[in-house]
Amino acid sequence: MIDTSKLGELIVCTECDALYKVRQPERGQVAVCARCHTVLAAPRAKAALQIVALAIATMILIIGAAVFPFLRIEAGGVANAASVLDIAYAFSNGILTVLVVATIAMILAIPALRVGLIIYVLAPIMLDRPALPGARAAFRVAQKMRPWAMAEVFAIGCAVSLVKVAGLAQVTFGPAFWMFAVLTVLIVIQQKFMCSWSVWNALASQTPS
Amino acid sequence: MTDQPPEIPVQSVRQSLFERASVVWLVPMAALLVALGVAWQSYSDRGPVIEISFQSAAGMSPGETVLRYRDVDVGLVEDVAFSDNLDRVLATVRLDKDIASFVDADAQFWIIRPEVTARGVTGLDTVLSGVYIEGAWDGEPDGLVVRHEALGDPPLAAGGQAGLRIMLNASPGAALSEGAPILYKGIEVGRIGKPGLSDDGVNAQANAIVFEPYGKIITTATRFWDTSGFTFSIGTGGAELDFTSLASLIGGGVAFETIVSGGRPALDGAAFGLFADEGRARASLFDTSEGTKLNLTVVFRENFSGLAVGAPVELEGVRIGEVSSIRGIVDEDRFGDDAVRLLATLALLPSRLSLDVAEFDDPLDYFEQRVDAGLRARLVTATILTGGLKVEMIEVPDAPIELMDLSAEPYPILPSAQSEISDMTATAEGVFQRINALPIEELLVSAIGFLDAAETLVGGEDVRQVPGDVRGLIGDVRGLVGSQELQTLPAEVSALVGELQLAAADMRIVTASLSEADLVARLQGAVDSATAAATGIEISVAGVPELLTSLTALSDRVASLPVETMIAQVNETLASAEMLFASKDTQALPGALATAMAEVEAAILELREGGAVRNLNQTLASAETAAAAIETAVAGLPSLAVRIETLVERAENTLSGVDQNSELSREARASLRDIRNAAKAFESLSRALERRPNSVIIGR
Amino acid sequence: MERVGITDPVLTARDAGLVGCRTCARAWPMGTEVCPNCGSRVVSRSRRSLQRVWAWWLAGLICYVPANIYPMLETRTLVHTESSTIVGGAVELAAHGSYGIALIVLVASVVIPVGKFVSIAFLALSVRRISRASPQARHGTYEIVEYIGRWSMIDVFVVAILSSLVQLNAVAAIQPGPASLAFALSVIFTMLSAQAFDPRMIWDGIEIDKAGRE
Repeated sequence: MIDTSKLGELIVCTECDALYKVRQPERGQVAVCARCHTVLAAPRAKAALQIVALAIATMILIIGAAVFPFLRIEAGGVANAASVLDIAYAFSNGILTVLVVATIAMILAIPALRVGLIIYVLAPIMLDRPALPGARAAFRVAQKMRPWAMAEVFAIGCAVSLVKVAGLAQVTFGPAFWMFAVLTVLIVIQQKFMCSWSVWNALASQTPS
Repeated sequence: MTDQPPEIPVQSVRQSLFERASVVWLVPMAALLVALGVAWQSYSDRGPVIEISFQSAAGMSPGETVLRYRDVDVGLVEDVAFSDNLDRVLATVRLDKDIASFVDADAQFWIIRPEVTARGVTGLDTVLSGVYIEGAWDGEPDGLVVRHEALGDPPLAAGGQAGLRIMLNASPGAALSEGAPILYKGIEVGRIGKPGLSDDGVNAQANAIVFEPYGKIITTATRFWDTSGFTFSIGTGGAELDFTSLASLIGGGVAFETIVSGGRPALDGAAFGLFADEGRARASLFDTSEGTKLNLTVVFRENFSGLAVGAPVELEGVRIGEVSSIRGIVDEDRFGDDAVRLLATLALLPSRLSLDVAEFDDPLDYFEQRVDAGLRARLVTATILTGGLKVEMIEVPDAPIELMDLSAEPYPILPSAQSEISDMTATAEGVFQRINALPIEELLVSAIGFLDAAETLVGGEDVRQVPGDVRGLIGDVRGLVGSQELQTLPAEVSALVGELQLAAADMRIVTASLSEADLVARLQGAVDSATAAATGIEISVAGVPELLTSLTALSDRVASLPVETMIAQVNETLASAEMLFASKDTQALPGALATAMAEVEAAILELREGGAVRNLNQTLASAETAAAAIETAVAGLPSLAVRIETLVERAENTLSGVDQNSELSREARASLRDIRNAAKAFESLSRALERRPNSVIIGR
Repeated sequence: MERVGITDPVLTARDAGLVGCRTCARAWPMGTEVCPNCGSRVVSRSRRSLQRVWAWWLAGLICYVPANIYPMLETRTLVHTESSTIVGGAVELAAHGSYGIALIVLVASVVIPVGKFVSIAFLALSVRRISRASPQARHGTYEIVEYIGRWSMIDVFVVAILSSLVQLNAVAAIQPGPASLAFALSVIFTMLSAQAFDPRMIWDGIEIDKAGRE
């Protein structure tokens, strides 16, 4: 039925499996599934540049957030400061130690990994160079990890818990806190900018499959 | 056409903001800048690191323990490690940048942790917040010093409190407790530091600080005493429990008062003694900072027990020093025999004498001068009851010439004089021995004998007759005066006078004729004067002849009286009485009786010199007064005896506690027995006198 | 703009004998196992996917029970120690007057997880049977579940932040309780469950349905 030689011209909706002939959306246009309205392709001009820049910024901020002091509370003359790692280590109590690893992963490791991989994949594209080896696997992993990078969840969690604590004690924000806030925003923007279909396209066109 | 997939629908989307790529690079740039900026700032904000060595870590934990200055966090402990030979714990502390330059060589560090001291519980908040290091330094930045050694305990004046630092030496009975407050009129004005031993290991001493502005109150005349604990006394007012305050009861405390004025303000580091209680502090006038001491030695000829170290030394009644040491000395070459003599070292404070500096710039000169004038030292009784002795410097008249030996070692020697010890037992015994030796019985016998004689004299017939004779005499005189002759005498005289008057009248007639001439006047004058003379003669002559005859008769009468024999008898009695009075025993009698006897003597002398009747009356009156005097003297005896009894009882009770076999108690008991016996003799005498006071006069 | 009407039947890749890569949206012949473009596993419809969905769902549900029974937070103050469960903590917050926070906690920790369980079950069931709900609705549900799933982790993060911050020695100290692990696992499992679900099956049902009706 379908000309298998022209499979490259087709696009399948990831959600509802509808089949379409691919067409590069114009500037300012997105490709949307007719049935389920999932955005399939949303290419942006100079997306690679933007994403890489954002990714680099995000990486810097992640490192900063991990290193600098995050929060400090003071109540009754007693003070305590916590960095992001300290927060993760809050679970180091018996069986909960598992959560330490999970928390670090969700907050720092996986977002950092994602960002790193995206830089790895997109930097050559941005520079119009051949993709680095393992770029596809890298990008695949990066996309798969997306739901597990919960940095922004953590940020909102911070807000919630600070509201809870601020009534009891005096809270001081360290530089890591602000970095984390910014990094959350950057991640969200980056998500919006990136069109995975475009990246796959670029990767496909670069390396002979 | 279902087999051909349709074209994918494409729809427009709203333009978003971030279209220009060049701008987007600002984001990572900004992120990088921010991150680097924060990093650089936190790095440059870091202050330098210092190392403090502690005896023990005492709860310090890296990253948590803070360094505080005046309760403000100025540093954080980063690391706790050992020194090379494991004898100190090194804490690496990161200081705040702005405070770093103040941490110079005189900075002190110590750990604040919960402590229970005499002042109460301190540092409790560290239980919650963890221990912290407290630092103290001055406000002058002298540059950072990296290595410090922490103090073992918080310093005395923490927090840079200014104050006067003094040293307290505890005397026996006074307790020094660390952190105890120093009170002045109930206000806490200072604190005691950690007590330690003095250099010679004899007393406890401690540094103390008196905070400003109270440091100015302390002068060299200030005395400190221990107010810790309580005093319990039973006195005339009942039982008394006294303590300064509950705090000092438990934790101890030291109070002070500037007892006398005139002290110089104390300087930093001045040393004061701490007395056991207020009484002792007030009583003591000695203080190491009250001027230089002058030390002299005295060798006493006698060796009496009772002189103790600390006994006062008085110069003409003013206490100028104390005995600082006593020992015996045996020096055959010096003294000629090998008896043990008492060598006392006196510590004098010449400042007590307020010597004029211009005159005596060395107090030794003053003493030298006085010694030349006869000043000697001798032991005298300080209190009779305990037999304690003190050294008295007094000018002894007729002292053998002695000079102060200035070259003696170690101190100049002051010559000594005979000690005047009134040994209680010896004195009391001596007194009663003397009383016992009085020949009271003999005296009384003699007095009674004399009075017997006087009685017989007065009761003798002859003397009794005298008043009757005198009366008779007076009767005769009266009769004489009332006699006929005397009565007629005036008539005769008046007749004579009448005749004379007639003659005068005649003469007047005679002269009347002559009255024309002055002769009459002169004659009249002569006659007037003759008349006046005659009148005078009339009066004085009246009754004379008869009176003369009566008086002659009277003198005859008197001559017939046996007055001479009476007088001769009286003379004899008087001679024997005189002998009696002149005897030694009588002279040795105590004063009251002597004066009574003197009165009697005087009376008898009068008797000898003057008229009989009057003297005898006086004699009787004197005897009466003498008896009255004896009575009053005797009236005191019973009470005296009672007093002696009570005294003896009390002394016995006191001694009952003393060891039965000790020398003192035995001696005391012996003397008490003697006293008792003497008292009993007194009593019996007084009772006898009381019952029959006349027995002195009349006889038993 | 060209638009295909909803009522027009859509050609699916499966119908066309192709299988679409869910990662890169490329079409490959049926039977391809590994996408040549992106290298990810390609499967058209898998019966086993529903098993996985139910398995993870059950695991999540099982973990959700102790998450509510055991205490989530242990607050230790100078005076006393207090353990609070999720619901208990929310109730206490409400009692203290922080209604907003209590609401957020309740929503995030109770409403959402329960909603997820229900939704996933509903979706899983709807794929097997014919459901009244329109595919759009069901797809929307799926999207929501997948999106919100990760936000349930906020509770765990709040516990972590509070526990690490409020360590003020004796004044106050908060420790995470065992419920935090259970809850985290529950969230993870439900996330996996939602991920395991193949949304294409929602749309398949329509075809059957339509085909059935037609």
